[in-house]
Amino acid sequence: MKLLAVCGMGIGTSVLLKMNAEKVLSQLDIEAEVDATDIATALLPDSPAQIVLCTPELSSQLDGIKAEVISVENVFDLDELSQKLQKSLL
Amino acid sequence: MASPSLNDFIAAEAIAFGDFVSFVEASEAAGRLLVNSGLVVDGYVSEIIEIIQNQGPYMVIAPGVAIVHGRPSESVLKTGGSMVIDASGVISGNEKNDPVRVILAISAKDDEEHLQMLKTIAELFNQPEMIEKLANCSSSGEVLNLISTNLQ
Repeated sequence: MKLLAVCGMGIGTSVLLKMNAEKVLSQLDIEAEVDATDIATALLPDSPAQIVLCTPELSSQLDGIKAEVISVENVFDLDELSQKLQKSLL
Repeated sequence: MASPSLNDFIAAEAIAFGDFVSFVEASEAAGRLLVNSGLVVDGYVSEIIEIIQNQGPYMVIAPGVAIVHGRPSESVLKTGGSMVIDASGVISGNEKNDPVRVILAISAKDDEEHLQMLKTIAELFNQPEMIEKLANCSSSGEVLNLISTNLQ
């Protein structure tokens, strides 16, 4: 299972999303790889990601992507992340 | 040796308090602190502003907190950060997370250090009461003390 955490540049928000997603996934005992990247990379047609995590402002820029897009309002809220990931994965 | 903490990336002189009229103005002040601390060159500040204006307030990533940055480029001299605190808050247009009271500006030169810095930022702000505590600080010494007592 492959997830992407996405932000404009791939170096700030996305890295924080990745760290917290990894924390939550390990609590849920789900084996998955999370990469932080920028929008352009996430949109590449050969992207192997099943799920893309981003903040709401960026989700419209991911229109047409084949992965499921989960938009996260509060990057630091592990409960929000956990609930949204569980809804998609379990 | 203890792993580096946020205090290693944010110097006392890179912390400022203010009552700003807009999110852009507060972000500019945070960017200016990076310049004054020798972490980035001048052009980095306009990159920060440009990204906010072009991409919208997506960098307001949790209630009350924004992390602003430019591109990793020659404008960046060193990995580090700055913090601007506006206790009364500014409006960014990110309705879920406004008002913004704490703005962190970061610069990334070295991947390893950058990841370590973001890790400590996550550890700090995964504590929801942190914004309120920071907004109640009145000196950079208080901020640094708060940070070091809340990191493992």
